[in-house]
Amino acid sequence: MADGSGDFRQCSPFQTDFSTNERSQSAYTPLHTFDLPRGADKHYQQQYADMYFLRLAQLKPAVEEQAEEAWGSMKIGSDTPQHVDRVLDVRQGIPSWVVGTVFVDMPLKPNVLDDISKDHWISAPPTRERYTTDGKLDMMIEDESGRLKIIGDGLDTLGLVTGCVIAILGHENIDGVFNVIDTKYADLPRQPERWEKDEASLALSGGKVKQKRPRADRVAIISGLEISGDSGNDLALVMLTEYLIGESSHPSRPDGSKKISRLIVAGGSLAHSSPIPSREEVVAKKGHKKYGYDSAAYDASPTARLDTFLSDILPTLPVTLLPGVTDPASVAIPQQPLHAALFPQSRALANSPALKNDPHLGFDSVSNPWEGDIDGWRFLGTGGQTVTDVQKYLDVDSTLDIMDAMLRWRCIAPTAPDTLWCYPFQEDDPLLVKECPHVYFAGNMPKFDFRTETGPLEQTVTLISVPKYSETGIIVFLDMETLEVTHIELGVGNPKP
Amino acid sequence: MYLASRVLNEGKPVTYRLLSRELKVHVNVAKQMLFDFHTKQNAKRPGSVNASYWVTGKKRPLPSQHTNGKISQDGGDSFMQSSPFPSSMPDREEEVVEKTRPVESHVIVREEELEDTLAALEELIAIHVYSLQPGPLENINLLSTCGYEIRERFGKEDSLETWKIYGTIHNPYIKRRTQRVQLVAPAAPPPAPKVASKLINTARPELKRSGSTQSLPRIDSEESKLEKPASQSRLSATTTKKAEPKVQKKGADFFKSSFAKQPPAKAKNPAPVEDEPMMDASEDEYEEDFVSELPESQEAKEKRERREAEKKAKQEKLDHIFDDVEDEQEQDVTMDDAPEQEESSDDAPIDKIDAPNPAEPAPEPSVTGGRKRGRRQVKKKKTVKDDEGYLVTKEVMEWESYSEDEPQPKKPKPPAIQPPAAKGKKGAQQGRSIASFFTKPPAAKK
Repeated sequence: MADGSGDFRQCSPFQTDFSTNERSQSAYTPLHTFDLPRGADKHYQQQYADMYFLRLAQLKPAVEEQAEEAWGSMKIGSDTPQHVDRVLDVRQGIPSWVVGTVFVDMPLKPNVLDDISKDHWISAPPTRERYTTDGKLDMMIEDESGRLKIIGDGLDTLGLVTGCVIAILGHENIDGVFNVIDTKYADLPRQPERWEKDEASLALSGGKVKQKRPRADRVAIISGLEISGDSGNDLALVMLTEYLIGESSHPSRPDGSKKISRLIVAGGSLAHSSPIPSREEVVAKKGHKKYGYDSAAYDASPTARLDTFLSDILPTLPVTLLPGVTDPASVAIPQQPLHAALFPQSRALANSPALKNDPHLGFDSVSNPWEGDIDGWRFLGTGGQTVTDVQKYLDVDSTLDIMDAMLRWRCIAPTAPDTLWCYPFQEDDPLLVKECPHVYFAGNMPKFDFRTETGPLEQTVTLISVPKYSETGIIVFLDMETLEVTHIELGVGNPKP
Repeated sequence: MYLASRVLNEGKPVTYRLLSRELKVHVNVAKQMLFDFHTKQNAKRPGSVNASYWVTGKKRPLPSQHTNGKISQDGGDSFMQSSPFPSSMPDREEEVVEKTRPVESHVIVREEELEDTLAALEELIAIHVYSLQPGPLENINLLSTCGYEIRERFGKEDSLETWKIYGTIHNPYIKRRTQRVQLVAPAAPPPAPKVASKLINTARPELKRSGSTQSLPRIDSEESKLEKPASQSRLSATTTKKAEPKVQKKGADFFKSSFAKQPPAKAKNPAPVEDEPMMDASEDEYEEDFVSELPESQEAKEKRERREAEKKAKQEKLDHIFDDVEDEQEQDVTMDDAPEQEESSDDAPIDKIDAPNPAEPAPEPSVTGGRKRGRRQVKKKKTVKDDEGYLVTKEVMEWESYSEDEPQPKKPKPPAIQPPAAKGKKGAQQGRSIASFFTKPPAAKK
């Protein structure tokens, strides 16, 4: 032990003097971008068309700017392509460019009408890994005036999905189909400086703006704990607890768990707890149908276990908890925070609804997607549905590519409301990216990956795809000074070579 | 010694954490104790104690086959392995190294697998005994029972205080909610369902709940009556305890009215009603209930604050005497009280299966019951011809007053979109029986 290694294989006399370890503070300012109106102010009768209208209206200027810059002085043959304001105003044969929303029709895409006709809409339609089939795919661009079918060699490889707003350059051919030569998207929006928000609020309150800040530690991100009723992977959860509270590892290690200042759980904390069961779950359950609350079918142990886990680590580590697709939150994005009633033990350390911005308290149950400032950096995170849903449209395996594209389209859920359940926003669409985050993470991804992307205005974004802890045992760390991403693995039993 | 009795006599596994809690020692000392015990016992009688280890080390994510082909003893051999590599398979090795940095990995392994695990690591960072058990573990997940045991037996300890003893990483920035805040929202939800069931049983015995539920609540209500005076005598606990019954009562009113509405809904067979409205509604209620805490607690807070002020004036002298001590107590009390009360409310539903589980949002629809009279906002469709001659259907929010005995007009929820006339009166009524129960709250809230 004298050499400071973490080898505790030694007999008495025991070493007993251990330094105490303290975590550093995690400066934390959650933004309530995705909180829905409460109670009677929340309606579901609005038409989804408004969302597309809003999206186009808000993104059009930015896309036009990009397109103007690229194509404004460009020559195609002898002509300069014209900017056409509305999709239906495109004239045959004239090179032009136009801004609109992409709509992709695919044979395998779920269709509401089909579902109704099959009388299957009690449960969610069967989830598909992909909607793609070989080649057959209709792409259209639309705005408030109408739709225009588009074709082009580059379109398939570009990875366009329903709902993204782009500018297309080309000309309409004899069949009335727009032949696309090039496309432009809005690209990354402005990125706030680090600490910008905190300093702004400080300046408002008359505080000292340029203050010396302590060195920030690391943030840990996990997702997909998938706590279920059976005790298959209990030990993994226990391990996670012990690692995070710092009792398992040697405390003097410089990069051990004491250097974690916050834990983000990016969705999927519980398995099979979505309020609307998937079709598979419905089939599996068939036989005993009971209306109303069925206490026999309800198993409280997963939630109790999650609560226990949280209350174990909370005294030493603040937690930001996002719901995910399998969690008992609302099913439509933005998913609202998991209800405090689920956490009888841990909510003593939670932010109360009345004091949402009190940074001293440890437990913050937030929405999905979620946006907030941690140690000055702007974080944007999702439980993963948005990415998984876009992936169904594309033959792209890298979830980072998708996340990157979503930021550049400035819409983190382009496929909502088409194939992703979504609240019908009316006045404003928070799913549009108004400020470029520094860190963009998505939970419940197939594998761990990360990379840094840069934008036209020197924006740099760290994209992180966080795998399920239950499958990989991976905890992702983000250094809050350098934004460097690392990870460790926790595992049980014999590691297979 | 504790270890001997636990492992050898009782035959139960013990982890370092459990040991540290039992003996109130630092976890790192506990780790050493485990190893000490393991070594000494096995020296006396080989194989009498089996250990599992927590190994931390750097590992290449996908080591090539060769590494494991030769089982190594330790350092010396691994050096041997790595040196022939570059020469024999330079390309492949480079690729692997480039793609994958060594990853820190933490593994719990059985004693039998320890050697192999260590051999597979590039660098050993830390190792300690994780647990001891009398024999080899068949299912390593059994060790998690120790975690639960800690929880059960030592869960009451305030981890904000005990970190010094056990060596948990301390976070000076985390505090428990102040009492004020704690009263506002969190205390309200869990006790509420209990009270609700109580009220149902006492106020409307014809509901035919099981006999046991009837007797239980009565005891409960007595308890809560007793609680009040008792709390007044206790200095520090007063604030917590006093407010709770208050909030409960509020919640009870809600429940009473809502439950009163429920039986008819149940009596009619809701079969023809689609599931759809249910889901919609339940989603709503979930949020609703959250909201309802706010206005409600606001009132409670005001009242309580007034009372607190009076009280403070009276007892300021006493307070001064306790001073610091009281602060600590206050924290302790919140800690101790909250779980206890919650526990009891948790237990209740287990005994009587009928009662809703407080932890579950689904049964909370009851909160959303209506009031006797009020105004509500109703969405109405208006179809107007616009300038261009198109028919435009708009939804307009309108206020209208209503009272409970009046049948509720068309529910403002999606199902209403289906022409109600087509179904006729019967259909409409059936729809109402269950859907109106769920959909009313948004209106009633106003």
